[in-house]
Amino acid sequence: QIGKIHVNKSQKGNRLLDLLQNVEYMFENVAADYVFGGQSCALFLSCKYHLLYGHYISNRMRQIKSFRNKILLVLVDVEHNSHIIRELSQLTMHHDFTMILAWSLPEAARYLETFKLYDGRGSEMLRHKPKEEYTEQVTESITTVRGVNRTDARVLLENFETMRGVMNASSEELSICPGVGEKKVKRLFSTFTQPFIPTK
Amino acid sequence: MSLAFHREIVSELLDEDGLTVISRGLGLHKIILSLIRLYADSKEVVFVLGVPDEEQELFVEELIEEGVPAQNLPKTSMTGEAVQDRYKLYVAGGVMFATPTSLIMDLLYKRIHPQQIKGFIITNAHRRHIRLLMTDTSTESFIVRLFREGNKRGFIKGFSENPEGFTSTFNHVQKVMKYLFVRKLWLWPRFRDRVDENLKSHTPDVIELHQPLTPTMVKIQDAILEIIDACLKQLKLSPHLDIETMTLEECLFREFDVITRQQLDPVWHKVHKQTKSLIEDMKNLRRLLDQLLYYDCVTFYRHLELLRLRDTSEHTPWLSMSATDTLFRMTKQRVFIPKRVAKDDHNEKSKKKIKTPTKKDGGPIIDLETIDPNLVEILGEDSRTSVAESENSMENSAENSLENSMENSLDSSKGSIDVETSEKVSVDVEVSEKTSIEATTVVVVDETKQEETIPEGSQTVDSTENSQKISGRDEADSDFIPVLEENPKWVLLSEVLGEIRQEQSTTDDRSPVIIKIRDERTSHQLQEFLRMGSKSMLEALLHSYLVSKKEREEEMKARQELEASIMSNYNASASNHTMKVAQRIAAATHKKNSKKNVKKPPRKRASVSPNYGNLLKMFDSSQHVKSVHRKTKPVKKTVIEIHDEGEPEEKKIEDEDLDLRPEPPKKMEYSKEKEHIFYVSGNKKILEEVRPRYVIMYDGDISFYRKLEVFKAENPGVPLRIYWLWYDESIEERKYMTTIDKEQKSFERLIAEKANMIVPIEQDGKTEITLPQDLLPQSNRKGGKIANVPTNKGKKILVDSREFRSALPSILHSKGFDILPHSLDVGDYILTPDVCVERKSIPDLYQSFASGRLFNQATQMCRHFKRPALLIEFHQDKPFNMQEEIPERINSSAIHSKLVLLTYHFPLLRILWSRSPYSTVEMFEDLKNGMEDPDSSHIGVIHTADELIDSHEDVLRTLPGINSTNVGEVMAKVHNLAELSTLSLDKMVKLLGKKNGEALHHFMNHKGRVEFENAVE
Repeated sequence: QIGKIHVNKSQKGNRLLDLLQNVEYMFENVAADYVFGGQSCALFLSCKYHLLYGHYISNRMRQIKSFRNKILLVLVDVEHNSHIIRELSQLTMHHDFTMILAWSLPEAARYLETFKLYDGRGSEMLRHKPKEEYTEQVTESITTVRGVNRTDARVLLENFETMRGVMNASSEELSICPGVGEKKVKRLFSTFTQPFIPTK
Repeated sequence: MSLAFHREIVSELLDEDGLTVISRGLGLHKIILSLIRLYADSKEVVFVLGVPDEEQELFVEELIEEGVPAQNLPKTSMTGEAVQDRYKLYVAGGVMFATPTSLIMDLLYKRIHPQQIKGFIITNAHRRHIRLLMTDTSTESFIVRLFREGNKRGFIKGFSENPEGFTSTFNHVQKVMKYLFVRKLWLWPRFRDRVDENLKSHTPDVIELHQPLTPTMVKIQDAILEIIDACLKQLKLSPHLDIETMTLEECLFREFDVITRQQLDPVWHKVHKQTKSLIEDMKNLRRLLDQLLYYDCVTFYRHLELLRLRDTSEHTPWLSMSATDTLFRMTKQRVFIPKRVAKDDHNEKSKKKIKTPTKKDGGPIIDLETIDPNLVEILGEDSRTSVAESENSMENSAENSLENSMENSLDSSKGSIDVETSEKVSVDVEVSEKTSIEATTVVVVDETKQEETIPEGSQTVDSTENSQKISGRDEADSDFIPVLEENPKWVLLSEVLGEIRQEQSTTDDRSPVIIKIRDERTSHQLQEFLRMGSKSMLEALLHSYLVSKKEREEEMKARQELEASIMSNYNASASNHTMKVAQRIAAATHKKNSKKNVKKPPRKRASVSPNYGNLLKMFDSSQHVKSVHRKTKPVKKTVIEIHDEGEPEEKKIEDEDLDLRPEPPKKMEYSKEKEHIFYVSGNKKILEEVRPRYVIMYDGDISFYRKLEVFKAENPGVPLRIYWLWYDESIEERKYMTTIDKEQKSFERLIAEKANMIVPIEQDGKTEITLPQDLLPQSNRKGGKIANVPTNKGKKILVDSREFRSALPSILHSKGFDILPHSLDVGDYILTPDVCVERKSIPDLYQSFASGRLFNQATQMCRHFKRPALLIEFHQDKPFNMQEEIPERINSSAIHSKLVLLTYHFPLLRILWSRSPYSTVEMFEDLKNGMEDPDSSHIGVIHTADELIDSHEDVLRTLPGINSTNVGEVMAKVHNLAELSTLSLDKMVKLLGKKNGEALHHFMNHKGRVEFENAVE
């Protein structure tokens, strides 16, 4: 039972359900449309439906209280939708729902599956993985300067050996590096030497 | 200002506001100068935007010379200047060069009122708008709008020397005019009658000299073109690019980058890696075309090698092309060639041949085409590749043979001959010889001794002498001989100089000759050439190249030893040896650092020192050239060897370093005494000051040529002859022609556009508050109701100053919001005391998910605000959806998975989905509706910003050991990045804690070069 999405009976006939391939579901008497676990649930809304029954969704949202994560999964199936999205944004902000947009049924189904599967999963996937590789680190740092590319990063390190060398090079020294033109020299030099805090 | 058309331009400008587009080189500088002069003593401020720093200085100098009193000179508001000072300057009035970013802050903070501004002079009016798709949202247009809203009288004058900039997109010029609030467009192409009349009367005497490229250069050029063409074809297959009609010709210009970037930027996260690297490759290849003409052969070779290093590790389809093969081979051939071929051509004379630098046609240029291309290893001359690989790498070993032989001459001079190992070595010698047999005549060693089994992990490369080789030296010594092809223009240049000197000797004219070149590098190169001749110059370059290569290999060797010894000592746990090796490496590092202290120039040209003589001798006599070899060798042995060659050498380096080091390229200085002056660009007054009679166009430049035309017309009495040096049939010529052609076509288009242009009378913004049409909301549901008197008047939004790079702040302001720029540590927009918004464009979203940045940002927002929100902003020209394929299975790297996880971990975080910046503004309106304004004093996470934060902070944040919690402290305690990089380990640990400090110290001081080549990406 735990491995299944609990689906509100009102969702019977929603084609979304046919597209759930990676998780199972069962109909249950629940307040929300889809319940993934004790903490999280979702309401499903298609924009077409919303255009017809404008008050429906806010009523539903008002009824759902006891979840930590409340999702409004919106199927964007109307062409001119910006006013709908705008309105729904307002509603979700007001009712403490988080809005997720899907542009197709398979996409919406994928969201449901993922919500079920990732319920209770840790945040490692979102965290910064420090770049282990020295080369990558250097490239990342140097290419942060606008207009400077990976090749330049290589050339620079090749010429100055260390990052310390690169950062302490004079403009003249920088300009000798093949492929590093005047503009780049200027940008690099000023990036390395410009004070962090402007001198008063 | 003596020419009639100059006067006309200024007089039309004085009557009315407008945009002036003028051909390059026709004297825009003078026009701006006269305007600055005119407003110098104005009571109110006149801002000049878009003038580069050097030119600002030049303006000031020129005005000083004209005797403009100090208080009336233009002021420069450099970034980083304190607010109070700027305030004073604003009150004082007069002309000011401003940076848009600081000016926009001051206008928004009302440090300057529009009424205090007399007007704007905006140069490079086209510029910002090539990159930004939305012309009306650039910072300049924001500034001008703020100005026009608060000041109906002031003037706005825009300038550009770049007509192409206005024709890149449809109606561009009208959009620019709209944002400038001007109604007039003046066009001054070179072909306009009044310009032509002025210049035609006295034209300089032009002698065009066409110099053919050497056959190798032609082959290289053709090869590069072929590769670019192939890349283009490949690129056309990309679904994200619409470049069907693009020709090879068009790829040769920078506009190509602009166009591709424009098309790809909004979908950058989706663009296939291969497409990205294709674009990057094409950029590099295009540069190679130029570099072929102006780098010397050694530098070019070196540069190409670097490119290749990058490419071995990345996905680059062009590497497998046959043209690529030609490119690498020919490039190498300009530097050195295998001796066998030289011998074939010149029989026994090869030794003598070495002495003569190869001339264009006469030299021993050989055709390697006959050699089985499979044997021509073009990827990794790098000796770290496995032996197995090197079996195939004839060229590889052949090349190394030259280098190693030179290194050997180093070694031998120290007498570290290792005869004992000769048996073992011979095995390896043989391996290498087998590989190089196709290309080189080498002494054949006992084939029977060959062992195929070479233990893995213990391979090292070294150069050792051995008896067999010594005995066979006569034949084997010079497998490779330097060719060192000189650039054809060098010879031409010295001939022309000679001719001029001869002519000068008959008259009493002693004015220096001006040589127009493209950059400082060329100036340095030509100075060296004229001083020491091409031969010794190129030899020195080759020499330094080889030495740096040797150094690199040594370092690598030491590293491998360390690894190997760790391996070998693993079981015995006898770490003594490892320690020793580690010390060696440390010592080597130390040596390098100490060298750095003597201010060694980066190319290490100088560090060659101790064996300088020897190596040069080698060029002459080729006594020590031997064949390359790979070998297996007991690790210990190698260690000792390195040790032997150690310290004494280094000491010498430090001493001699100073003498041999070439003068670093200095800023162009010139005096009338000099015979010739190398001129790059910048000093616009050089012609007036030098009054040259002879100018050599070493690198053709249309803008400089026009300057000469103008100068000649202004000074009809001074005879002026221009020698124009061309590479015949070269890319240089083609590019020049295309440039002229494009300029002309652009002007023609602008003329046509101007003829049909209907400019509304209120476009000058002087009558009432008008918002440019584009700023109105895109979908207005209130059918027909004409939009809207802004209802957001006075509502405050705190905006992170970095956000000013995007369109949103400008649009928010146009909707009546009060924009307060701050440097926000958390979020991008703070709408109410509770609501904080982090804005992400789609590519940003992907990128910040990948880097983990979004996680940190969300954490911070949720910590400090009750109602944080992530705003996902789509690009208005792209479809409004994620455009993501739904794979069969749930994939942790999919954007859906990440969004789901984000909502789970930040239940407080709301997500706003916005179609475009205009939708965003509407959402902000909703969110602010009836809410309190944010107050910066309530929130501890922000501080006022006077400047846009520059990339130095962004770079800082990428450094290992730096994170969002310590970045502020680092910035407070350390002056700049350069200083940070030099901190000792202790200090870094003190600053950042042990782990972070060590990480940062390692990052700064680690020698990354070696890993570069092995990097797998």
